[in-house]
Amino acid sequence: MSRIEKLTPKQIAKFPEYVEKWTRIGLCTDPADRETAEAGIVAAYAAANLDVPRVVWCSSPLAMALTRAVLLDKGFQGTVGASVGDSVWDSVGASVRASVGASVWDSVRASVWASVRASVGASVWASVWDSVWASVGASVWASVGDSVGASVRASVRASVCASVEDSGYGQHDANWIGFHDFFREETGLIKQTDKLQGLTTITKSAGWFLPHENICWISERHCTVHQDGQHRIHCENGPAIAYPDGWAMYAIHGVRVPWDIIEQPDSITVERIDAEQNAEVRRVMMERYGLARYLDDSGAVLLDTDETSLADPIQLYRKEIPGDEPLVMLRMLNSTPEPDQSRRTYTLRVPPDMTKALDAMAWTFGMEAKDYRPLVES
Amino acid sequence: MNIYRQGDVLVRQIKSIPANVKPQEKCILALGEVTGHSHMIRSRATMFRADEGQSYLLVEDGGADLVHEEHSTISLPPGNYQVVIQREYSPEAIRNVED
Repeated sequence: MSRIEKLTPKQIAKFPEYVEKWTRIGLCTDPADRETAEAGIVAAYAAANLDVPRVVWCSSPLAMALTRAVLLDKGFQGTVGASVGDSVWDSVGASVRASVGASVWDSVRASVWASVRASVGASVWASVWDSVWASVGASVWASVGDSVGASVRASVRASVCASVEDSGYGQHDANWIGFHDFFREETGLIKQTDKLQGLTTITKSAGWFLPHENICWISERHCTVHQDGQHRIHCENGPAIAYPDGWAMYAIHGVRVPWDIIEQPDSITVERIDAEQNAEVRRVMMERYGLARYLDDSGAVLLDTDETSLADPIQLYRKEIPGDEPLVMLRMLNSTPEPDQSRRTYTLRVPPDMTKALDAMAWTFGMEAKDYRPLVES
Repeated sequence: MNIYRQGDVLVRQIKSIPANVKPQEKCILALGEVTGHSHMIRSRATMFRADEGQSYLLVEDGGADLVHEEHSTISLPPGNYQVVIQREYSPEAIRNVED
């Protein structure tokens, strides 16, 4: 078969279908299809000339990593056998690569692989990856630490971390598996993708897996995934990603935050916000606390009061934020009184370099202070 | 050129309304996201919208009233206006984050 140098319009028109299909697979929250996934493991091992392993199901990637860590730590290396990840996914892409021209490869990669990656890989997979690492250092450690003994903490920890890299990502491999699926189904590269069929089956039916000579651990899929409009993991009132064993990740617009920022917003205090070292997490905490409330409670400095406005004085406040740009906010009184004659204030964030209240007010309407002279304000 | 402000909506007199704008059925300048209260025009005016989202107002002879449940009514004299909705600053991506 000669190299594929060009795709037909009909083939190109299929891109969205593959993006949709593989994104759905990548974000699927159904329980794993265990029977199918196990058949996929058998096929993937066979493609790598490996014997059929014992399959052990776990309820999350973290549970999988910890199980392996403890077994290895207890001296069961022989039972487990060496990690065989490299043989399982070795050279699977090479034969397809050899069969298509560079422009075809690039265009399918940009359309199918990159799109699925944007919605699955960049947000969900990356978050699970980070969280396995982070969890070992944090809450999970409290319960596991004692049972394994302090002296071996370091080795277990290293082993859990290594398992993140040794893993296959199952449904989170949807981007590159979907890419190869396109070539198999739409351009007839059957022989070139045969070795990949075991991995493809796992991707379609389960979560992460950790292949070794004698044991292949495999995880359930996540049971919850919430994203915002830009495919970033996001949920304001619960976990953004959760697994059936309760292991969960919390995030606002892709920024992972401690669970209580979401579940117990009352736990956010000015002291806690100011002590937070990660600027993105701190921003989420400030938003959830309320920017105007934070301004009042954190000792912001009054930079300027402007009384030239027709209506009421407007004020500009500034609060320095270590390691981030300052919070500069404009505070206005509603021109029209409430029924009880009191007047509500409202507060808007303005660019951090603002120093004059009137400049800031004009900026909120896209104007310069010299042009901002309302005839009537209400 | 005269400027009128009702809460978070500003109406600014301009010489003429640009071409390529589409007339709107209703004269709602801004919908209140939280309260459901809106800034709207009563009578004798037409609102236009440009493709990029910018809104304009043509107030005909006799003038028009800009009304809102929580603000005093503003009487707009006949003329052409640009509608500006108040904006808020939002910080860019964080650089040099110290993790």
